[in-house]
Amino acid sequence: MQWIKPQIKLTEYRRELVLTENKLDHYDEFRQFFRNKLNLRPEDIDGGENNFFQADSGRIYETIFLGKTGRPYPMGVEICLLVHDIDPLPQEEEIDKDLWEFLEWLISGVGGIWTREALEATGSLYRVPFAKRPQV
Amino acid sequence: MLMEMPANVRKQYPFQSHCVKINGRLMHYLDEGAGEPILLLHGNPTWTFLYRKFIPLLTAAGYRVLSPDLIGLGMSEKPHNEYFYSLLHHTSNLEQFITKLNLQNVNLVLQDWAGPIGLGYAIRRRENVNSQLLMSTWAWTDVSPFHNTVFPWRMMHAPLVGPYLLQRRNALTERGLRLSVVHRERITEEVLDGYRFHMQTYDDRATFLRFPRMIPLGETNKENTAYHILQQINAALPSLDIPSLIIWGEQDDVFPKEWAQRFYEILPNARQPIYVQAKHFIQEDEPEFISQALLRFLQSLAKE
Repeated sequence: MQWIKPQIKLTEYRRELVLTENKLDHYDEFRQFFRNKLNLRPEDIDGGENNFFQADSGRIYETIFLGKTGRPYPMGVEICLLVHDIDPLPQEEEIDKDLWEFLEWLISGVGGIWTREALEATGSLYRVPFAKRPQV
Repeated sequence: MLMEMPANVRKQYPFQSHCVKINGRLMHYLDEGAGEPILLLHGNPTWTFLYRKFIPLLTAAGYRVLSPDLIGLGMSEKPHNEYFYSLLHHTSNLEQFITKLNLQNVNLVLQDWAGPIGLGYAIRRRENVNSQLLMSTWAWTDVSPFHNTVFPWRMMHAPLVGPYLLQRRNALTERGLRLSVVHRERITEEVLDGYRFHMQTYDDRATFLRFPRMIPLGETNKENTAYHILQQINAALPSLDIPSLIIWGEQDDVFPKEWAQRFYEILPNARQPIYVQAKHFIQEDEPEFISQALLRFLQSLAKE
């Protein structure tokens, strides 16, 4: 996956919410990672630019970061798949595959105790078909 | 959103549904039989279905058996806002449930999150609790070895990974239940259908994620977990003189069996722990044995 500035007319697309997170600070290094990686600032809530990533499949997702008074920013994030016009939502497994790529990117970036191996092992344990079974 | 109960689930769960408004939300519960009340309380990611094999045995022995679905699980209302799901909310809901139904001298059966919830009730309303059965649970702030692992525990509910696994892919139901029993062959597709039934949508399944995120993480992030409430419960345990039965799985890898002994040593009126061939979902592994042990325990109390 890669972060992009989409060359599309956003008004021709609808946002399909596919993943939500309301507690980015449950492990605060995740919140810090997004904040640093995407240069997020609390004042962005009021008119800042949104961020988009493109999965290897070509599908584009928008990440919308959330803030709450009295809480560290960003508090949460909504991930929306951009779907053209009235096209149907792709199959769940296709979206799951894109999101798994995103999670691999995320965990690699957060680092520390959060390793790709631990993610892939957890995914394998819970039968995520895209998780790479750890080599023992 | 709740679909009609499928026939194969209804067959396993042939009980009359009841509903009561608790703290502004609709709580679903079962109320079977007549006699001294036994409250069967579940945790996460289960619902009253977990006790389906207990209920006929206990009612046949002359007890009134009540079992509420926690708000956010089972057939209870599932508000989609996080504010309804703190440990204090669940404890208050239990207190209101017992008060509204005017239940006296209750016998609590507690497993998983029902432990902190039920014990939270017991330390506040000691006079209304006749006995308690503790199984695979905890009531302190230190972290079990399992809850300290990154693989699988912390990764499973980490930011964004948690919603992906628990909400999009329903991993606790589809995989987690079987991982947490000794007798995996007993978690048939039909049984899994019972656990699939109560949480059918992405939004509903957010509840699955709220519970693991309340478990203390040691000395970090205390304000975001149930740390302070568990600390309060733990401090009250040495004077909680309720007659207590403790049954634990030998192979429990969520709450180690040493914690059964720990409850026994802290609680002033506890029986020696009984160990069975079970893991965390002990009710699925040994329903008949536990029901019979509970009945013997209650009958022994009646003779005292």
